[in-house]
Amino acid sequence: MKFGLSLFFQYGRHVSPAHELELRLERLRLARDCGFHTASVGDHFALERSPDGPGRLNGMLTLARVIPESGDMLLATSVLLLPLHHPVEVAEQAATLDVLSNGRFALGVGLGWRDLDFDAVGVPRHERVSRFVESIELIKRLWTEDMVTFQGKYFQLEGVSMTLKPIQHPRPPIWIGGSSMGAIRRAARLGDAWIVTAHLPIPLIQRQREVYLETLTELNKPVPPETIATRGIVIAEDHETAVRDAQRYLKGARNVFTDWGMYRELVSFGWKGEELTDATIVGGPEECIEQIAEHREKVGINHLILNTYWPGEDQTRALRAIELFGSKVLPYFREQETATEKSREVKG
Amino acid sequence: MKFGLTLSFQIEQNASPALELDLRLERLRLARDCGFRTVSWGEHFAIHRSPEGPGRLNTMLTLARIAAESGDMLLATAVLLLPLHHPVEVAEQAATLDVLTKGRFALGIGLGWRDLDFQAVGVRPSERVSRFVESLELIKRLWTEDTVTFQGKHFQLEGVSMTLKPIQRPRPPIWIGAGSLGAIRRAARLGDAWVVTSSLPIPLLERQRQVYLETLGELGKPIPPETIATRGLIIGKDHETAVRLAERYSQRGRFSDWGMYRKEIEKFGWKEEDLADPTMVGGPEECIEQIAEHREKVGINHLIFNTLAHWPGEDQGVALRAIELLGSKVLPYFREKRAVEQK
Repeated sequence: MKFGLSLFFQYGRHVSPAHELELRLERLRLARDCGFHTASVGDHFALERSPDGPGRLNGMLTLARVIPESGDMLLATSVLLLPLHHPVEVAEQAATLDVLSNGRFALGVGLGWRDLDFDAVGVPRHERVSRFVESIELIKRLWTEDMVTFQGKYFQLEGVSMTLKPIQHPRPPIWIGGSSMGAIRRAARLGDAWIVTAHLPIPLIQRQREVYLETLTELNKPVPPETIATRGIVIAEDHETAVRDAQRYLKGARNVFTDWGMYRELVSFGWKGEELTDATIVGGPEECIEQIAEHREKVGINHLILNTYWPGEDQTRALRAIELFGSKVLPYFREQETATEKSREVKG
Repeated sequence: MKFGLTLSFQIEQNASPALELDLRLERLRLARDCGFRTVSWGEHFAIHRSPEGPGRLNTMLTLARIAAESGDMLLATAVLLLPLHHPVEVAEQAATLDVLTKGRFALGIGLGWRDLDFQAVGVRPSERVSRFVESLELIKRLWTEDTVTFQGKHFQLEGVSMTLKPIQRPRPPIWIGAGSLGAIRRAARLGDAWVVTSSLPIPLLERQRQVYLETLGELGKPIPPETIATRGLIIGKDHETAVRLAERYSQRGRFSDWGMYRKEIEKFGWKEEDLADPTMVGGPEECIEQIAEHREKVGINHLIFNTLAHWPGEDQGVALRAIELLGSKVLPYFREKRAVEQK
């Protein structure tokens, strides 16, 4: 079981992003020292319909910035919106991150959904799937082949070599995020792992996982060792405190996030705002352990990236939450693994 | 007089990019501690016709990586090849760098010239100037305006707001790299400062500066306080040492071989031999003289050194000694001179 920290943050108009970044660097260092495996960032253009919309930093640059503070942690995009970028640039930037981090980068990618992002770069939204598929193939080839000739519908290269190769062999892992049937099938077909969409409740993910496993079987592909997900978490010393904090933060977050349009994509699945509570892990340490174990047993999620970002929460509480998780939850799963390995040794 | 160091590098076939970066971080820290003002990074795509071609790290990501070790230094691209990127991405990445450095970023931009770079991202070289001009306008507007509507030939935006604003007000400086006449005129018209080309000797730069000043005059624009240049420099503890070091680097190809400057050769009547290698070579006093000449004759007062320590590994000692010599013998001269002038 691997755990990660989401570095993603959005900020309102009168907040200093430089200061917010410092706070998140402090949280990252603590998570690193507590044994978290992964740090991740998201990706949307910092474009909104109004100047009062949330600001956000470029994801790839943020990952590059945190390399010195990240220790041995895996650095991942979850997710880079592939159709909005040129695959040659993505291949080069991702290879750069893999080199700068000494082989600790994972490229999580998604389709994108916001009209604003597509309009901003002049990419027709209805082309996003075919661009996505072409881009993945081109990126894989640029990373792994000496010479590439590629005559795609959107991208053409004639006898070129990408001379900055990633460090990882054969290449960094490519995780594919997706909620629609098509996206899940593509994750099975083209990706090294599937990233489960955040905010969705377990029963819905179970149905998605069935499609994922069926597709793997049809393609005669083994089930990948990891399935990744980002989940919100509100952890406190005990149940009462956690519930109280959750009521305060989740309501505030739901309002802020809804204003910021974060859930529009999920409405298409018939999802309602109140279910955010269902999809967030809330409780004291033992409850959190139970809920995390449930995620693993029911939907195979064994690489859990935690979103501890709650508007209105202060740094002290955020650090305490990471510490609690690191001291009470992480060791449980670590001991479980050690026990499992030992019993395997005995049997073998 | 401000001084900087350019640290971008090509990664040769068997070199370790991680080791090469570490060596340059060591140079950065020394330069920072010696009082250098600026560190710059250039750009080309890591795309070649052969797998044996040199590799390169992405410019913006590498600047983000080194930001934490740069102290109070200015971080600059010199230069980012604007037509190869989408201006929304450039605006966003540059604003991010300005935030990551707490307001210590300068966006140096150029047109690009290598066909392969254009092919790699499917941009027509014939469109590079119009893309450049449109991109520049769009970036300025995204940085400084609340809501932007832009109907260009290449880029269109309808009522959008870039909510990530840079820290510097009104915005980070935009330097325009220019070695051709058209580009110099654009640098005067559209940029906050001109980045003088590194590949031409002073006599030819003097002619270019005239064009620059004339254009500013025509437009009724004041002369910007800074003119930037990246120049090759080989400094030794004395003349003989410097000349010996220079012999190791004397095999640089001439830019004229690559077809650049044809217009200038025609218009100004330049000859092949005029395009001499402009690298500064000498002991500390000679370097001071040559630097002062750059300032007097071309107005260059923000000088970014390329210490030409290209070869992996072995030249770290040379590079560090050069930075030390500059820091102890050259930078103080100009600092003291300025103090005297102010009094």
